[in-house]
Amino acid sequence: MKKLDFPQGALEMLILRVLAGQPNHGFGISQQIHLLSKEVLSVEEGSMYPALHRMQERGWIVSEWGKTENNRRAKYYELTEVGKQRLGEEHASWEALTTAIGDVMAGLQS
Amino acid sequence: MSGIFSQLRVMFNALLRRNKSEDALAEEMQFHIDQQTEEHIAKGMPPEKARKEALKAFGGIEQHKEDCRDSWGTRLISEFLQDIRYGWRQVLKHKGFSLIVILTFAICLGLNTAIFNVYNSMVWNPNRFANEDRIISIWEEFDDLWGEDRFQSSRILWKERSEQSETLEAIGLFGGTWENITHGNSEKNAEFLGVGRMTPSMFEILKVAPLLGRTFSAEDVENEGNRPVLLGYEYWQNRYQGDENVIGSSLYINNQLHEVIGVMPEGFAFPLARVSNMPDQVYTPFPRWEWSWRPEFRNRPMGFCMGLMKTGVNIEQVEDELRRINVSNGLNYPEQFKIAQEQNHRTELCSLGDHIIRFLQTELQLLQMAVVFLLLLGCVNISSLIISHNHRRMGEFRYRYALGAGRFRLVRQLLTESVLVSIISAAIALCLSWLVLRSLEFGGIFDDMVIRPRVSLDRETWLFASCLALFLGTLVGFISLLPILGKAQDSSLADGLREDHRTASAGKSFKIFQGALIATQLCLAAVLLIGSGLLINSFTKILDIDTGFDSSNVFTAGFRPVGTADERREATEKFLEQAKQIAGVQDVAISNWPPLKLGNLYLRSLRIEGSEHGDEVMCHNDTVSAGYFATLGIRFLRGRTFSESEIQNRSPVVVIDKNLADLHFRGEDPVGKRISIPAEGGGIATEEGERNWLTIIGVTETIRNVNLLESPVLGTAFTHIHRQLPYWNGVMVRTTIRENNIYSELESMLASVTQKTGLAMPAMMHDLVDKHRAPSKALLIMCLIITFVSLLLSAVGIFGNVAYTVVLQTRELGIRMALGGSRLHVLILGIRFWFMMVLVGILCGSALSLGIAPYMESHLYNTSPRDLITYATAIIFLAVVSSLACYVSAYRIIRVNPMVALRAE
Repeated sequence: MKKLDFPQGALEMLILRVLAGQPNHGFGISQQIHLLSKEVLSVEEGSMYPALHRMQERGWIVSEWGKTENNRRAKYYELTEVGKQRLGEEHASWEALTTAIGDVMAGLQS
Repeated sequence: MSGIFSQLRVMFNALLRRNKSEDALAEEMQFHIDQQTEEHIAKGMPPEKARKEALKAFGGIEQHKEDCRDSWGTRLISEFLQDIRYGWRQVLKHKGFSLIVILTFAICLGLNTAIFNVYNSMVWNPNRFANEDRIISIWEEFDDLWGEDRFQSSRILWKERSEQSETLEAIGLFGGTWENITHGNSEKNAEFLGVGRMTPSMFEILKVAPLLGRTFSAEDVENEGNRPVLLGYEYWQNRYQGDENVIGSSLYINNQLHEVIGVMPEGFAFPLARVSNMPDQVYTPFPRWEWSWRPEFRNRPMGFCMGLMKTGVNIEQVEDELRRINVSNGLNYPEQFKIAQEQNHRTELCSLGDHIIRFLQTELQLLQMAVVFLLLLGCVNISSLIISHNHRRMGEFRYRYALGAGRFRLVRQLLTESVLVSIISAAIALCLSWLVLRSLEFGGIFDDMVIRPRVSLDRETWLFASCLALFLGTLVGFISLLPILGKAQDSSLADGLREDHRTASAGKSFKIFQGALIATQLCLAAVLLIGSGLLINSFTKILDIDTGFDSSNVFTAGFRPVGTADERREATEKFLEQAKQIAGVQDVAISNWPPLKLGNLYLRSLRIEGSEHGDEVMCHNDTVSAGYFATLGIRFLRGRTFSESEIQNRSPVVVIDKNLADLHFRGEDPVGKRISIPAEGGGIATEEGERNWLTIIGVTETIRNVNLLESPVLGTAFTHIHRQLPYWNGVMVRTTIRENNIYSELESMLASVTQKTGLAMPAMMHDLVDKHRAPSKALLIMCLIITFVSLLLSAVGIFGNVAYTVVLQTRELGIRMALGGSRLHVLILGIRFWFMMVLVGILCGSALSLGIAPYMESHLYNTSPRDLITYATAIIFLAVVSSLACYVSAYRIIRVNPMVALRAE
């Protein structure tokens, strides 16, 4: 199946969504996005890190070094209260946007 | 809130634990790549390929890292730190260049800081008295009244004002005279001291607390029986060795018992007292002096009037009110008011600070102007130095540009460099200014000045130096960037940087810019050299002022003869007789007012026999012995001194000075004419004694007896001591003996003449003169320093700049020579443009100097602001230096092989 690039800004929302489940490291997050999108969405993996650092700077997430199952050191990110709120807002506006776009497209088809 | 907090924490971590943050970032990304690789291997991919795939999927690691750093928000700061480190390395790399730039900057800044320190501590922020910003000085002005412009106020005017003014919190009067001071019943060591008299309100105005005891109260004036006296600090130290039990002891002022009630603190002086030559060694309240309240004394001077304005009141309001008070009270004194109106009486006022500094301000302003010009010259020098230095670094900039440094980044880095240099210079400048002022202070240059600058590196000085350095650093940075930015406008920076490779000579716009810089440099140097030359001329003339008398080898002291008139006369005559016998004594004389020793002479009213208007005019009067003129080497223009027979017969004769002759005998020969001055009475504010007609027997040169800088306004009449014995015998001895020896010789001799008195106030006459010259000497030394630095700066700057610009044409000149141009021709071609610029600069500078000449005129003593020699010297110096610079650098180019010149980089 063809892999899709996704719109700018949506990356942050996806990261927030993934972290809403449980704390995770960068690699884990990219894996999750890949899996949850049924292997449709692909991120240039490196570009997730600037996004993570930016979000941490804004206070949406916090980070802490921890151990993986294989006992390797990794940096885990966790959602803050602010981040949770942000996820809600982003989600709502995304819904509104896609509904609106969907309506327009449906109107064109009919 | 938490957002800001976490942002700050990230920034903080990134900045302070820079290495740690970098390591963490690398580890985080490495973990990602490793995990991905392992996953690929687990799926059966060979390890090498797995790793490649992982790296490919991750994207450019360095780019992602840079993006992460961006999000830390520390990029500007870290780049700034990087610029500073880079700048510092540049400073260390080009040591010679950096040293010249930093020294130039530091010297210019240092001199400016020094003058700022002097100015700040003397004019802007003197902190002499609490409330100084509210204290005002008030004086009267009359047209043609006794030739003085600023006039003290009378007691009546003071009383009217203190009773009626609503804008002033307190108003005081301060005056003084010279009086005899004795201690106990003994006349031993009788002194002739300055006694300041004041209203008790003066202390309310100045808010000065005494060091010991108390100040005056209103009762002190009313109670005639109890006369209090306050001691000045210096007098307390010298006469009482700082004895704290002095309170309650007594001293006699003109034989009247006074009780010491307090001691004033160190450094205290009544404002205006010292600048006006007013005495202030001990202080008493004004006595009751019933006569001073009589109507005819309403226009007579009594003392300086000073007021403390209420908060929120401005000086114009006070001025209006005082004028109103003057007019409304004038009706009570119709006659005096009429006279005052005819003389166009005006009450004037200004802030106390303005009044005190009046005597020095103009000179200080000129010095300030000089250092500002020096600073400008320094900036131009530094800018041109940096420009030529940057030109040599073009290759470096080109590589950095090629490697991706933006134009903005390059500009920012060069600016950082110049600001860094200016900050280093500011630190040196502060030390330098402190060193200069301290060494001037240590050298005793300020000692004799009536008001002294406070030498300290205070907060204002720090602030001044750092702000000025930052501003100038940025300014110089921008100026030196102009050629580079100018190129950037023509085409891309890279092209601009390559320009010197595409063309044989320097770019045209660059040439014009550089030419303008040379012209500016010479213009500033010309103004500076001409201006400081004029100032040096003027100060030198002040130091060379002819006092009208010969002060070398003249010893002065004084004693007070006591007893009956005959006893006093006898003691005085014996003293004169025996002093002449001392080996090594050439001449000896007695005068009430040895020149420049005490201050204002007695003012007397003078009448001239047969004068058409029969009016009284004012003159100074001194009582002298016959040898006075010979001892001081005062020349006679007409006639002679008192003869033996005139002294024996007590003939009514008088000697006058040229000033008096010029003022009142216009063109006529005064010798043989008769004048009359009252024999008794002190200053002009006392009652007059009996009049006798005195025949003029001689006219002498006018001497500077009160003020060194100004020729006396009034004439002086010298009467002989037999007519009226002085209150105090000022002794003057022309001698070859050293000061200490002559003092002990004279003292033991005096003891043999009379047991009742002793010799006081010894000094050498030339020291007294030097004291009057001290401020000009201090200013002259500062001026010489400035001139020396400006000579150095202009020589170094012009040489550096001209030589550099000529060298820029190396390749062009090389081509011309290779094509067969004659050496002379090429030489002329090489320097023609620059020489034109030099001439334009010098001409502009001279024109500018002529332009500010009218402003200079009032500040110069006996020196024309258009003095040809000063102009010529400055212009010739600059022309020679720049021609030499042009010639030497062009000659060096044409001397080399054309092919070598062509390859010049």
